[in-house]
This record gives sequence, C-alpha cells and structure tokens, in this order.
Amino acid sequence: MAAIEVERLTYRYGSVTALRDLDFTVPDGALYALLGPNGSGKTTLLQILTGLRRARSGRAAVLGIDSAALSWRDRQRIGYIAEGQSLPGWMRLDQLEAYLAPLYETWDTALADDLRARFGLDPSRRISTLSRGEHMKAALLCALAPRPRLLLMDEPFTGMDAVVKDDLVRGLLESSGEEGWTILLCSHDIGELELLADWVGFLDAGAMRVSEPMDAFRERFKRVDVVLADPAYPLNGNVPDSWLGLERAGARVSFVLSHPEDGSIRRLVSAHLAAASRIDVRGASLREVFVALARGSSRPTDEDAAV
Amino acid sequence: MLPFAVQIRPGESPYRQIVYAATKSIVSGDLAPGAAFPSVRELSQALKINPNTAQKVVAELVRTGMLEVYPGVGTVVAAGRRASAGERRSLLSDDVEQLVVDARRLGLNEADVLTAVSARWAELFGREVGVRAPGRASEPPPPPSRAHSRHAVGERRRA
Amino acid sequence: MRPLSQVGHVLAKDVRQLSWSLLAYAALVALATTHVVTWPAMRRDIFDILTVFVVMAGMLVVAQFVQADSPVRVDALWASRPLAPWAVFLEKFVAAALIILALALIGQFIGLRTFDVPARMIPGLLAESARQYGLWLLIAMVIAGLTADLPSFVVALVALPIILLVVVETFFSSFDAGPAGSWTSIVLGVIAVLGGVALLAHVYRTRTSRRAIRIGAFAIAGCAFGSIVASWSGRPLAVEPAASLPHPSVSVAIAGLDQIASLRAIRLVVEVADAPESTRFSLGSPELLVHLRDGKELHVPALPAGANSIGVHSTPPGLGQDVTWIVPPGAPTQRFQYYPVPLDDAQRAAIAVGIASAELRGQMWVTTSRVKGMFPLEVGARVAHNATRIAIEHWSHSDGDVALQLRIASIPREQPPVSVVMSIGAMSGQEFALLNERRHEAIALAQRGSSGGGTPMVLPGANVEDRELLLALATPYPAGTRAALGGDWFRGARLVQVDWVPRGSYPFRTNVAIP
Repeated sequence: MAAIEVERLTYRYGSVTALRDLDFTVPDGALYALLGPNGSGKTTLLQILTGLRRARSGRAAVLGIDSAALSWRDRQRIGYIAEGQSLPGWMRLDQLEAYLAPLYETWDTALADDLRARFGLDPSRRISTLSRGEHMKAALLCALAPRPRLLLMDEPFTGMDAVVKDDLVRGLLESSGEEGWTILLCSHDIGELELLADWVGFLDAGAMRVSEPMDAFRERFKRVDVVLADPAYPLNGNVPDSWLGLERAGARVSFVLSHPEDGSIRRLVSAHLAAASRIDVRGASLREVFVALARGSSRPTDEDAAV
Repeated sequence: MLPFAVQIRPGESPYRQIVYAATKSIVSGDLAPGAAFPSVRELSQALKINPNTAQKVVAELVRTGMLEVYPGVGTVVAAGRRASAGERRSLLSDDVEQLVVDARRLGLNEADVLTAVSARWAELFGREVGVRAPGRASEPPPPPSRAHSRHAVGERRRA
Repeated sequence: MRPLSQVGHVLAKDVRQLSWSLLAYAALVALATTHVVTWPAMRRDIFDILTVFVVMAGMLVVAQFVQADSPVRVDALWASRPLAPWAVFLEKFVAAALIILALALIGQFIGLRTFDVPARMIPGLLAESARQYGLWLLIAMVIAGLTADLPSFVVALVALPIILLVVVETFFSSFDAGPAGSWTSIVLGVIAVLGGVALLAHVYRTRTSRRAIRIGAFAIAGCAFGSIVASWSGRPLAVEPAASLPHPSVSVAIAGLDQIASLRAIRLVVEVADAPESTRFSLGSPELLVHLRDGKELHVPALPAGANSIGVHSTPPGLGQDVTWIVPPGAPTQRFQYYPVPLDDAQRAAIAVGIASAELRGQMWVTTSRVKGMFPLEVGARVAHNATRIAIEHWSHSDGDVALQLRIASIPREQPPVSVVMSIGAMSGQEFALLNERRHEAIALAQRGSSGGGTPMVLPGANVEDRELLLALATPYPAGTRAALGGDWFRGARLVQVDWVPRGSYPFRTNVAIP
C-alpha cells in the first residue's frame, strides 16, 4: 500500500486552477522531494492531503485512508508542517508540548528532549518571540516527537539560514526510528534534498511532470556542452524541445537533456547539430535540471513534451 | 566528522562517490585495518544523506570486503584485506579518464601523456627503481614519509 | 486521549489563552452586579447601560473562544492534530455555558436576591435571562465560527442589525403579540438553537463555508433575534375563567341627545350596582350598536376622545378589614358616570333620523388589588421586599398636604400583553397609600410626578422598573380631618404599595335606555 495516492485531483480557487488532474504516488518508506516553482500548487496539495481542504473532484489518500475522511485517530500517525500553519504564539514551548503530547499515544518524550537540546530551544520561551528558524525547529519538534508514520512538510527550509537548515536536516535524520516512515517534503529549491530524497517529483502549474526514484532521475539527465565549429551557426528550428534550458554564448551551447532510450547522447546531438566540433556530456546537478525544467515549461510549446 | 575524506559533488551519484572515497581511504591506509567505520546512522547524519543510501554504501563496502561487520562491535575496516593492483588501478579510473579526455582535447597523444606522467612522478617522488612495464603488479609503496609538495622536493634538491 | 477528555483539555487551553479577556469580562459582570446591589447609589444614566456592555462583552469573549480553534481557517492548528472535531465543537458550547453564561447568571442571581424576589420566582427569571443571553451568545458563536478573526467577526456583527431590522419590521410591526407572541418566541428560539448547533457542528466537521452556510447563519441569527424580540411584547396573562369573575349589574342610558348638534357628542350614563370591594371594572373595545327608526344599524366606537377603554367602576384598594379611608383615592365613587362619545357628521345625521334601540358591547376587564409591600415611613429607609426595593428620599407632612419622594425599583411579575394593558387602562398599575394599622385608617396617595423607566439588571430577561416618584394626597383633606391628623398618626403609619392586577375578562352586553 502506497503511503500517498493521488488520482485525478483537481482543485480550483474560483477561476484559478491550482491542481489539474493530478496523479502521483508516494511509495511507503520513501523520502519524497516534491519540487516546483512558487504557485505550482504544492501548498494546496499538502492541505488536501492533510484534510484541511477538500477537493471537489479526484481522490487523495494517505496511509490508505481518504484524506477527506481522516479521523482524529488517523492524525496521530500523520505529521504536518507548513509555514502557513501557525503555532499558538501566546504559548511557551513547554506549554505547547504539554498541550500536544497527551493527544498522541506514541509521543516520545525522550526524542522530544533530544531534539530540543539539539535545536537549542529554550522551553520557557514564548513562541511569538522565536525567530523564524527557531519557530520552524519548534514546529518540527512537535511534528517528529509523536513518531509519525507519514510526515508532510511544506517548504520547511525556505528562508532559513544555513545553520538552521543543517540543524533541521540532522533533526530529521535523528528521528528516523526503527519503524519505517514516509516523508513528503515540498520545496521550491532542491538544496539539501538532493542528498536526502530517494524519490523526486516536479509539480508545475498544478500538474506532475516528473515522479520517479532519485537515482533513476539523476542518471537520466545529463548536461551537454557543445562547441560549434561555426560560431554563427543558426540554432532556430534545429533544436528539439526536449533540450531544456538551452543557453548559447558564441560557439558554446549548453543544455540539459534526458537520456534517450536508444543510442547515445553524442549521436543524438550530432544528428541535430552537424556543426558540433566537440560534445561533452556530464552529470547534471539536480538544481540545474529543475531550473531547466521550470524554464522549459514556460516556452509556449507542448507542455507534455516527454522529459 | 568522518574518519575519511569525502566531498560530494552535485551531478554524480552520492552513493558512488562515497563508496569511492571510502575505498580510496581504506586502500591507501588512511583508514587502518581494524579501525571503526561509521555506522549507517552516523554516515547519514554526517553527510546529510538518506539513510538508505548510507545503508547501500556500507553494504557495498562489506560486499567488496573493505569492511567487516562484527555483531556487538559494529562495522570495522577489514583486517588483512589487501587490495589487488587491479583494484587499486580501478580507483584511479575516473582520474585517468579525465586525463585522457583532456589530453585528447588539447591535441596530445598517448606518448605525450605518458611522458608528462613520468616527468611529474620524478619531480614529486624522485626516480624509483625503474619504471615497471605495465601489466605487472607492483608492491604497494610504503606510506609516503615526505610531504607531497614541490616545496619539500625543492628542499630535498637543495639539500 | 479520548474525545471526551479532549473537551476538558482544550477548555483548559482556551481558558489559559483567554484569561485576560475572561478577567475583564468577570470584572464587567462584577461592576454590573455591584450597580444593582448598591442601588440606588450608582449614577443612573451611565450605569444603566451596563447590561448592554455585559452582553456585548460576553459575545466578544465567546467569539474569541470559538476562533481560538477556528473551524474555517486553513491554518488552524487543531485541524491537523488528533482532536475530534465534535470534541472541539462541544468544548466551545461548554465554555459558553459554563463560564460565560454562568458568570453572568451568578451576577443576575445576586441581583435578584437583593430585590428579595421570592424563591419560587427566581428559577423562572433566571431561565428567561439564560434564554435571552444564550441566544445572543449563540448568534456570536455562529458568526465567529464563520469568520477568520476578531475584526472580521465585528464587521459581520455590524451587518447584523440591518438584517435584524428587516426581521423586526416584517414580523413584529403589529404591536400586540399576546399568546401568539409567546409561541413565536418559543418556536423561533428552538429553530435558532437547533439550527445554530447543527450549523456549527457541520462547519467543524467539514471545515468548509459555502455561501449556503453563510446565508443559513444569518437566518439563524435572525430567528434568535426574533425570539428575543418576541418575548419583549409581553407574556400571556394568567386569567381566571369568565364564569368565576364577578358580574355586577351595569345599567347604561343615553343622555344629551338634544345637545347633539352643539356638543357633537352624546353622553353615556353608567350606573353600577352589586360591585364587590377592592375590584375595578373597565370596558375595553366598547362599541355602541344603534338601531335606527328606519331599520338601519349604526356602529359607533363608544370611546371618549383619547381613551382606550371606559373605566366602568372604581373602588379603593383592599388594605384589610375595616379600614377607613380618611383620604380616599379619586373622587368618591359616583353612582353615575358620564362618558362623552364623539360623533362625526354622518353619525349625527343618522341619529337625527331617530333611535329605535341601542346596545353597548365590549370586553369587560376585572382587576383586583393586591398589596405588594409595606414599608416604614422614614427618610433614608431602604427596604427590599417581594421583588421591590424602595428608598425614601424625602418625606414631610403639613396642614395642607403630604409630600413623599421616593425611588422605587421593582421587577414586574408579569408583563401583560400590550392590548390588555390598553384595554384596562387606568384600572391597573400600582398605587400607594399610607396605612395606620392600629387605627385602621388609610390615606390614599397619588403620583404627582414620576421619572425613570425600565432597565435590565445584569442580564436581560428580568427588567427593573426603576422610577423616581413624587407622591401627594390623592384628594384634598376632607373638612374636619385635618386637625385630627398629627405627628402621632404618621408615626404609626406605613407606606403601602398596591398592585391592581387583571383577573380576567368576559364579553359584556347590555341594552341602553333611550330617553
């Protein structure tokens, strides 16, 4: 049973369509990085998965249960963090923990103490006085202490400085217990997710353009650097749409490409650019890939060009 | 911090890079036989990688015999495991490929590359007992006692 | 944690979160209670409005409770935590009832006790206060449940009076409600409560707020307000069956037909016999049915100008056996009472044809006197008795007159419907007298001036009639009595408060004698 199943999910805010016919699955035990530019629908998707919003059409299920039918008992196993979700500012951190802990059967006080120490949080501080990074740490603490089976995180690293991001990642890794858990982590930047995630998805304008294991995804995309024999060689019309994020400076052309199933990249490139004097293929960093994907989608061409 | 050096670069599989770095470290003796190797948890924490990836790294190192698992003790560097010359050469394969491709790009040929390599070797470590013909495994050299720097070599020359 | 325990768990959190609001609210309730308890010490005009503030403050606090775990905000913490929605929803009602409503009811109870309201009346009065205040709180809860924060709650609340004015105009423009008003109040109240609870339960469960729900919320608020307003028009009167009421013989004659042209009116002459003591009779909606010589019929409302009813027979109140009225109330009851009945041109022309016979019809209301309380006649006396509090501010007597200035606050027992009040007219209400029990002598007093009005106490539902009265002799001293009354008489006298209470009515009909 997949941890998260989404089928033909559609959600509209008035005339704006945030999610259109969305289909994807998060396998059990995966750490799934869901990337996408701002406004691509990640927050809406997570709100629907947690049951905070209801979609009119389509289906969303977490841990095998319909999101719209989640009971309070189900929520004991699901953790949720979002910047939009405000912790009660008037409470102190120890009061917040005392409020939340009895609600969960599996609240691990030792883990909570450990995380608090690791994050350097003072329990007697009022939450409204916490900095942005401390606030996120407190939210993460409260989400991790019950040892959830599914953790949904909406942009936990956004706006955090490097030290805080480091602490958050370590806190996350610290909390993985004996029993497996599944994490869906949304972000608009790959950042630390490149090493953490074992699944990756790309949400763009409400639809999923990529959803696969990270290893396969990494292997699939290459950065191609081409040196043209003729610096004035015209590119228009010679270049297929599957070459993403194409940039050119004089004789040098660079782009990101998904590895074709048949044949080598070199042969494919030569076929289109006869004037190529040198073709270098190397692994693309995921940040490069996502920037290219995001840029690529803004071209007025067929969105469904196989990537 | 980890007992071996590793710098994970984007664009390549972290799994491969870590296995490569750890193997290099063990084969070169930086990580001595019998030394404790970080647990999966420690690896994951230190490098901020997915625990599954760390798990695969350790499994691969155990498979190739670089590491041994003792119940109750943990994972340690295998004692008495000698890397064959072929294995050690394969650790250099990425560097070799880069060298060869760059040389070719600059219009050099194989002889040029070998000359360059010999010259640089002599500069750094001095003439050793002949240049062995390729194909025959050489003894593992003693751990270098001198710093690998031109400065030190310079000093030696002057001495 | 089981859902039922969650109720207490969330309640503890809310109380801690809103402790300052609760303290301010409790202080306001305490202030309003103090105002009632220390009557008449606190300044009237400023503090009379305290009830409004209590209700508004209660509504604000209950809104804060609801919005502490908002059912419609997407960022609400509780919604993504293991809290059963019905437990959170129930907790809000528990908070409203056990804390906000209860605090004010305690103040109201204390206030009622200072009025020496009889114990058997208190549950009813408290229930009515709880009902009205509870409906206000329900309105606040429903609106707070659908708004995201306190400012938007206040904005929505401001829009409410407009809706409510529409409700009042549509349903309550006719003044009288009577028994219908009471039923309307109950039905609307039940609809409001059931609808409000159902709506909030739905919103907490589904966490959506579509337009249909918002419309429903305003409809519920309208019903709640309608229920409150309907109860203002008075509760039905407990009346005796017509058969048990005394039926004196009343004979009526027409006089003044010869002067009809100049007076533009005829006169009815009424004589009453066999009327019991301490009972008054008043004819409501009186109508003169005239059969003319040419066979036609004429219906003339037999009301003197400016009157709503005809006071048929009046007696002094009953103060006990053998009490002699040294100064009687009103002129001595005359054997004949004269009432002018104004006629317009058409009616006069018709009567000029000639009257064959006539009847007087109407609804005869019977009121009886009841001693509400007796109070010592001392300046500065402050007494609470039987739901009335009196503070005598000034008292003097001289050869010619008696002057008494007092503050009186009472909780009216029953508020008869307006139509009944209009039918009975001057035959009901309260009167005062001085009674010397040892000598069995009484002096009737009349109100020379009064000011003041009704105000609620701590909570609405138990209105206080708070007046400043100036009393003086009802009629001048009869010749010869002035000297008899000395300081002795007054020292042994007490102030008596009498209520004239409607007993019931019966249809009345009698033939009118034509000269």
